[in-house]
Amino acid sequence: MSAPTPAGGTGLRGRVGGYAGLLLVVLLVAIPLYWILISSLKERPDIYTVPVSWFPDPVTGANYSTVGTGVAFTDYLRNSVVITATLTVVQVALGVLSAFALAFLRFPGRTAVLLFVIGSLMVPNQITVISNYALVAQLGWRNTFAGIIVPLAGVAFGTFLMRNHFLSLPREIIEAAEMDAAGPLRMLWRVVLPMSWPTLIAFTLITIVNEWNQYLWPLLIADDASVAPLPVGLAQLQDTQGLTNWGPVLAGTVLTMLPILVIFLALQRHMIKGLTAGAVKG
Amino acid sequence: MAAVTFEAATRSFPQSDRPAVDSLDLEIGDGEFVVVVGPSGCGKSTSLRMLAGLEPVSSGRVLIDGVDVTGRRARDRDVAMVFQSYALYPSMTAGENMAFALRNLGVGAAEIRARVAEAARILQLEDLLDRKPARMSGGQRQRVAMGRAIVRDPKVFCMDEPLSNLDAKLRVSTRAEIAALQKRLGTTTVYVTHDQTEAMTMGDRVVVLRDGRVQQIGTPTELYERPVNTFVAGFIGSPSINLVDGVPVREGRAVVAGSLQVPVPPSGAGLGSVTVGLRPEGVDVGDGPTGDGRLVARVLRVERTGAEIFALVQPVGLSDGVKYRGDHLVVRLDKRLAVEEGAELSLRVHVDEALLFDGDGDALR
Repeated sequence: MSAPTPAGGTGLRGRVGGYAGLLLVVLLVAIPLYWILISSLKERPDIYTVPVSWFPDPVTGANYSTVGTGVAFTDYLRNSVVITATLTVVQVALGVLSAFALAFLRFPGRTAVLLFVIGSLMVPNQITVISNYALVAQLGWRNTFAGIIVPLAGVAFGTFLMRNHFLSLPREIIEAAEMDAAGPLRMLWRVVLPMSWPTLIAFTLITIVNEWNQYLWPLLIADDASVAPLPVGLAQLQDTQGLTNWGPVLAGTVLTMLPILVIFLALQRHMIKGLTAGAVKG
Repeated sequence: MAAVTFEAATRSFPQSDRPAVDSLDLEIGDGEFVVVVGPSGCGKSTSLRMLAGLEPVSSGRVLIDGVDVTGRRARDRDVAMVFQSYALYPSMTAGENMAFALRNLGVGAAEIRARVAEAARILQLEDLLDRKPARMSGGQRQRVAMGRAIVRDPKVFCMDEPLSNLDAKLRVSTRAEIAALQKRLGTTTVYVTHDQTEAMTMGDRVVVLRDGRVQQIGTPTELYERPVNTFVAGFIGSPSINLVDGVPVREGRAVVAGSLQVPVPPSGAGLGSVTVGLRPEGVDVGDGPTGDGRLVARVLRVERTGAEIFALVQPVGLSDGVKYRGDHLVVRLDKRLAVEEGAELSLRVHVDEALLFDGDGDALR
């Protein structure tokens, strides 16, 4: 039996099959996105034509102006930025600090705390919605940023992710810092985090996307455009006159995706490996 | 600078039935260079880490300068460590790596600059101070790791196989540099290695460990010439000593062969048989003056290192019941000697250099 070679028949077939599979997955993801983009640029009747047209003709920006006038878009955008920025800062800070404690500090009950964190990952958000709502209402936090942000500020996934990453760092470097009299915060800031940027950026990105797309909880807590974020505002666009006017909805969706896309493109090149190169041999 | 004392220091792990380090008693003098050596898993690194404060002490005590530091954190012991992997901070330059501990200890900026510059000068690192570890060679990283230890001017240096990642040539030159540096600084140093050549060439004294227990503590010469048991005799020396078991004792002499008899000291009186140790260099070829032991051996293989010849030989005419460990004896011969495989050699054994051990492997003196 001969091993398949890149130039050989088996290898070539395998590669073509592999690329076909990749193409299929790319299309599955890309077609809906493309559909959203072109539909947002179509005139209203063109969206519903059969057979479908794959290029907007004529191209119109009317849907985008409707988004601006139909709902308080800038208010929703501001609210989304406030909520996402606050939650990201809080969650990343809490995640990193708790992960550092669980990975490097010795204290009684450490395993129990870790199990508690992992356990909380297994509770679906929907289960806690009613009790959280009751509490927030009791506190008088309905239709406030605090009411939206505080219940969402807990972090379990990030703690888990960062802790596992910290444990994968070369132990001797941590011990060297210990012998070099670095206190916990200095060790975190000067030794551990510089070796952890890729994981930390991935964690930050996941958090940003997650919080930007929050829908259910803000929908329950926010009553108007003073605190509601973009996804809630988009939903209002959907049924202004009883039936869905897809053009403005899709234009709003594009506008909602844009900031995240920009952030992703800016951050993803930092998610590279090799930050521990040269630290330890072998 | 300081003296270091281990008092019955023991480290046990819950998952293991025997301690990794078993009641280690060791006194290290101020400014002394002590090498801890042994096969892998013997507890040498654990002992070092107990001194550094990176490993808790299950029972017993560790003292630095007479002060019990057993419960103290690593950072409060004033001990510097050079790790096997160097463990440099990858995000910092060589200079920052060396300055890190001083910054943490609150040393002033001018003082830090001066101390780093001095360490860089000693270790010839001046041109590398702004370079990060990823852009350095193994030897350069090793020197930065040394620099990080010496800038602190600690009471004790701990070195955990610091040369094992270097290539053979660099290892030999760095070995000499470290020994010279230690002499110059006069800092008490505990150096762990599995390489007996490092142990023999670097240390003022050598500690041989096996299965967590000290076998012998002594100068390199003592260990080589008067090992306390067959383990130390076999571990120290390259190539290893030839051990011949089951040598019958007759009239106060161990009779390896009719022509090779070694006098047994009084402590071995009454033993039926002993183990005889013959170093590879304790043998000459040819017929010399009478009084030496003689042994005839057939040459199985010849290894030429350039400076010398090692002949792997099979002795003939041994006494009944005598067995040698391994399937041959090794003898070191002059490189000018024409030795051929299959030939028979007449060996002259320096009987006064032969070592004797009882049935448990303990030396007979």
